[in-house]
Amino acid sequence: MKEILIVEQLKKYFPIRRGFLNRKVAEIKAVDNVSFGIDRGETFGVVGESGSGKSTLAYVLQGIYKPTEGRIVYNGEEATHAIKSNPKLWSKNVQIVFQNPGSSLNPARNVYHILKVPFCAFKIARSGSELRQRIEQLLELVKLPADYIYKYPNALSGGEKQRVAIARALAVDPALMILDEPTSALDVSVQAKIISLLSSLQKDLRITYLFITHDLSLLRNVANRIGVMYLGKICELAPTSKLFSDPLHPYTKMLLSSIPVVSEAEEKAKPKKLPSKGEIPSAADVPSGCVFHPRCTEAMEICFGKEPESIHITDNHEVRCHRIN
Amino acid sequence: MILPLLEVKDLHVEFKIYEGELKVLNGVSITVKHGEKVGLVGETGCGKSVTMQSIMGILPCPPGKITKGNVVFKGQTILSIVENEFKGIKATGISYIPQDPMSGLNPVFKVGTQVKDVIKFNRRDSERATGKRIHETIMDAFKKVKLPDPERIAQTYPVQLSGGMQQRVLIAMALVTNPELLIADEPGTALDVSIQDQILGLLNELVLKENVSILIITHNLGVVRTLADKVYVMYAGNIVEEGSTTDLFEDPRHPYTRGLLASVPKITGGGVAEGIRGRIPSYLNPPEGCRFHPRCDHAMSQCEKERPFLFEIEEDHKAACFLCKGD
Amino acid sequence: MAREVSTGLESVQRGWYKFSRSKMSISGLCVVLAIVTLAVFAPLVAPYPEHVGTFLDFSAVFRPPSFEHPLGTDYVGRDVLSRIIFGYRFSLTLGLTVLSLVVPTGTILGLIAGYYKDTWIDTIIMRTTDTFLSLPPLVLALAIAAILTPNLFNAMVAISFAWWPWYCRMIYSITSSLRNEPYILLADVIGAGKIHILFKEVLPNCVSTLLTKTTLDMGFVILIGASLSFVGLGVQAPKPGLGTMLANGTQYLPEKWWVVIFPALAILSVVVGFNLLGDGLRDALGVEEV
Repeated sequence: MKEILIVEQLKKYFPIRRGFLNRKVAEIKAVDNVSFGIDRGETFGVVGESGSGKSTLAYVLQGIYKPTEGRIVYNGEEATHAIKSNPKLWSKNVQIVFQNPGSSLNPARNVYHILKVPFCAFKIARSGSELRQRIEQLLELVKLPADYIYKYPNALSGGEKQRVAIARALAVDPALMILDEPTSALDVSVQAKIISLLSSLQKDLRITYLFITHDLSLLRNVANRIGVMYLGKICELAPTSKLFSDPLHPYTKMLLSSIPVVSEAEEKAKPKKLPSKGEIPSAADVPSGCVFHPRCTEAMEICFGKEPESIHITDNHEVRCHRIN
Repeated sequence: MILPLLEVKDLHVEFKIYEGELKVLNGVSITVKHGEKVGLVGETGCGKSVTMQSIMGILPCPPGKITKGNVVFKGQTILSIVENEFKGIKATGISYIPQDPMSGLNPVFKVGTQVKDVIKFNRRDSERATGKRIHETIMDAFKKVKLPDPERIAQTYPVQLSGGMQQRVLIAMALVTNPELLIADEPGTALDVSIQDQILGLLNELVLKENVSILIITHNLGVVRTLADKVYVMYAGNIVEEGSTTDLFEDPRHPYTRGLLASVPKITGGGVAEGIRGRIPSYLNPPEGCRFHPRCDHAMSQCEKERPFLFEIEEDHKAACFLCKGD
Repeated sequence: MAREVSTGLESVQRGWYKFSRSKMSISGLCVVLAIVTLAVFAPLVAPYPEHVGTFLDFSAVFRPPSFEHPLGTDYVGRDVLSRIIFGYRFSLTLGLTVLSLVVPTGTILGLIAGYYKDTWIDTIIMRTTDTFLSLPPLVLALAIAAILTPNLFNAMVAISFAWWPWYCRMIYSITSSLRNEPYILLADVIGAGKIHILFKEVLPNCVSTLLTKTTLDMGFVILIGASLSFVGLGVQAPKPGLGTMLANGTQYLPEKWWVVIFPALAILSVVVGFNLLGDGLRDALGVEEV
């Protein structure tokens, strides 16, 4: 089966409760009707700005949040109910690397303990020496010296912390790894090393990646396909090179034209500069019709009232925009 | 010849900690001329924050101390060693735009009040600023930073504003004192890329209209290329390369600059480079000679012993590397 | 910037370096060490250990401070210095016992309430805590002690009732703030078990705060204990509780001042010593919640 994961019409709404009786007065539509598939062994990129819902998507797929609605299919089998009722079992297949290295590792425990937790939770290793051996193997995988087991997170640099976080995710030998902004907090030269590590791990261990970030230029170089998220919806989904050479959705074009690039060649490759209008509204107060219409320079009358359907331009390029028809 | 607005001359700064002395700044020299947009770019731990604190006069001494060099602003020495004691003053005419709008604004006061406070505490003119004049100044500043509906914004609390608007308020706060030099700390880094783009565009415009100079301190090479005319690249307390933006980005000479630019993912593709091997050195026992040599693929024996000073490659393009000596 | 080393030992060394730079903290440490030494070795250190129990020597009544009796004698001829040294024993016993009851109870309840924040478990535990907190500790301790037979043990029980909510609340606040940290969420999802999460992930983050608060509290608990003794609900005469000594001696002011002033200074020394030590710990460990 080509796809390792299929997500269908996934929704995650958070209720806003007010008043003495805790009545639900509104909803934060963090993830709203998201559908995509990830092929085995590929890197699927999700790009979006803050408030787009990409981190919520990551948390739902890891089982930290329960989906409000929708289906998740894993390896061809229905998995939605299993994730809801037994997230522990699910986390053997899917592991997440969090964004902020500072808070993804327990500052009060050392590396040995941090890496021990998944082994003990899943009872993978029993004896102390076996545990020690496995932990040292993990450290070797992420190219950290074995004596790092005694170190506390505050003694590690940002890049080293992320390596430990990656090692922790690899402990259970997952088939899919969710990388939630894994390098956003790192310097660019450190980022390059972590990306390089992730690349080689993917080749050696044949892991599938769901790579979530706000950095489109990073995805240009690591992702096979990219989904662009805005206010909980995927507005465009295409193979990487197609997205960059022929972006269709106005939001994609806006994102691409605002990237601060470092060379003339890249400047020429950017789409024409669109005046970027306004800011992303709150997900509790989603605009009517097309969620992007208040900021869209190409908005038509229909965009104010009617939500656009996701249209397949080609087999693997879809857009959610009234202009594309 | 017109004097430069700001001159940091061969600044050496050390910090005393439990384990010993951190020799952070190792001879930093920066010049900002009137109307110039200068970028100081470097990764975490390179010493750019310490440089910035030295310029603004807020370097904590102790544990910090200057061992050599000074800082001159508008011809006046604002930081130096006088009779073995560090002497620094907070210069008027320098305004600071903080990095993170969330922590730069006090959440319990209205935005208008905070701007008013800045005006009141920084009055350079001898005129008594009346309430009406202050209000006009605030509205003026808000219009300059393109805040919609300035009257209403002045009455809101920071938490009611979006990140982009908060950043504009911070820029307005920096402008109301009519500074000659703006120091922008990681402009737009805390914001989404589309908003960052707006803010950078705004800063570009303001520099032209308001006749201020701007010193941009950031780790983001793309931001520096968008905004600055001249760039200084910093590594481990040294300036390793300086030059015009075009020169530096089209023809980087120092191995660190090259490594850095290669590590930036390009939208034209090409994969991600391997990065720069090794890690930033400890300031307790920094490497002898060139501080970058342990990580450099082109290191020669000379690099381990002698410290390279800035050699001229072409006019206004210099690199601190023996490979560039005699170009 | 990554520091080059940070094993547990190095952290202790660095913490000590920070601590030792403050003269106040070092004085606090010295005072506390002195008091603890005196208390532990009381029978060996006190010049007249037999004066501690029932003892009468009317020939030596109300002797002012002299060479044989450096702090004088009291109204039945007992050596004040020896009684104070043994008084320290009672105080420290009280402090240690109360805190060993209160700290684990409060911590466990706080951990549970914080982990289950915004559920009925949280509500029950924290509203109970709030109820206890609404009464001033001294008043609550007095009320309970008054119901029970007055002695040292019951004084400890009474104070424990008044003290546990503070720990519960403090640990609750730390736990609930860590509840949604990524590493806790992850531990949850991989099924690490609640006991593991609370005791092996959250609790280590509370250690500095607990240490600081416990140290600071020693002084205050001892003070409350002395207050109880002062009103007759704690250590009973003729046992040498510091508060009891104070109570019995006030009527002889101002002529026979040494019978009151020295026990008062003793109480002061304990409170100030632990306060300074606690403050020093707080600064050295970088604790903010206390």
